[in-house]
Amino acid sequence: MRQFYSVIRRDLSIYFERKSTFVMAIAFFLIISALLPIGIGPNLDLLELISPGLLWIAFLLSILLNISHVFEGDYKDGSLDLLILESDLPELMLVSKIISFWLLIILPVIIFLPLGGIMLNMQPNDLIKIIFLIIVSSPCMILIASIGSAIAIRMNNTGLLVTLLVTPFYVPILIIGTLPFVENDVLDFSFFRSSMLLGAATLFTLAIIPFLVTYILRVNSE
Amino acid sequence: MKLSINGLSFSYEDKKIFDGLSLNLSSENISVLIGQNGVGKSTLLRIIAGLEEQDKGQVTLWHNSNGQIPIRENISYLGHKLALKEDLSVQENINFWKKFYNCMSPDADYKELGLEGLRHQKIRDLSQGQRKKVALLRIVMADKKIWLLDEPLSNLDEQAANYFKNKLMSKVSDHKLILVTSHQRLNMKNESCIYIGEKV
Repeated sequence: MRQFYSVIRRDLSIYFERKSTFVMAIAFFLIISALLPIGIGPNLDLLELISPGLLWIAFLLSILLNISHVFEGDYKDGSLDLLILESDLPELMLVSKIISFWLLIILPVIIFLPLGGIMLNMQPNDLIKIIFLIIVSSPCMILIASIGSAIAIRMNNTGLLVTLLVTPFYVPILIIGTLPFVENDVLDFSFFRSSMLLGAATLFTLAIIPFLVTYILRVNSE
Repeated sequence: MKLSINGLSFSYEDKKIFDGLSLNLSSENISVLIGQNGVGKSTLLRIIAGLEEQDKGQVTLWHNSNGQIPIRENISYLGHKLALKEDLSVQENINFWKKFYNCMSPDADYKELGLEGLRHQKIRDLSQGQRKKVALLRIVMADKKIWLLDEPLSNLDEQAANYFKNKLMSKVSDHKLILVTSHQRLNMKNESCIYIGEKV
């Protein structure tokens, strides 16, 4: 666990030193949240109806901007070799990378979700629910992105490639995350059911993906 | 301690780098792998470290009293990339590795390598030689049983190179197994040169 905490602490220091990454993510999220209502027009009822979906999309777009960089810095400076080679448990090192990435890229955007929700005319009750669903599902999103990042690690300018690789896997998360806010008679998809499914997805990916990514990185760093 | 490489073959993009290479390295000497650029010195180091997978052959580590022991957890590896974080200071980088390896602060080595006045400088502001010194400090701190060092003396000034050569010699007497790559002999006591490719 000593190595686990030291990697998180180091990553936090680096990101605080280089603030542009999370400032960009927040700025991008706020710009999308501000532009969407303008594009939809002055119909507040329509905006309120579709706001959960819009907030999800604004969140996804803002994190897709950075999601390819999970291992990029460590690969470029050679730290990744050492984290895999010299750590007691490489899989745990990857979990620590995921946690620091969540704290530095996802959490700042989550903090600004209420502001985005207000701009999208979202009901407070729905806003709380959607923040909860995003918190529950965001680790799963980074874990999925870490596969893309590991696959493309030897290539230059992988941002678009990783985004193309991982976006299809975000579609089910987006559907499950927005279903509790869709009023229809066919599907009775409650907030509770949605939370359980997204939580299960996070736990499932957490149990499997670190091992998978360690293997990909070992093969791919050669 | 002995490291045996038996019948090692490795190809990269259809080009054969090694074909049935066999070597025996011992902790009684500093093994210096000498060869021209591109003959596979760094690749051999990475294969021994487990960072590259060979096509054929075996790499085994033997401890005098414990028999065969795992390689991975006993290795300190210095590659071309120095594993330093550009945005952090020398002290912050070293503190990270200190916690990572759970080892003592290398205060005496700071001074010997001429890094004392650079503790609070960011890595991005250092020269290549100064960066190499910080990276070597990590190897000294980790103090593992096997040191795999890819051109450790390149870019170093004379004082730092002599200090590190002395360090290597003292580690050999501590029964560390040391394998260093270089383009030429290092002119050290206990040096055992292994030439790969054409002799230079």
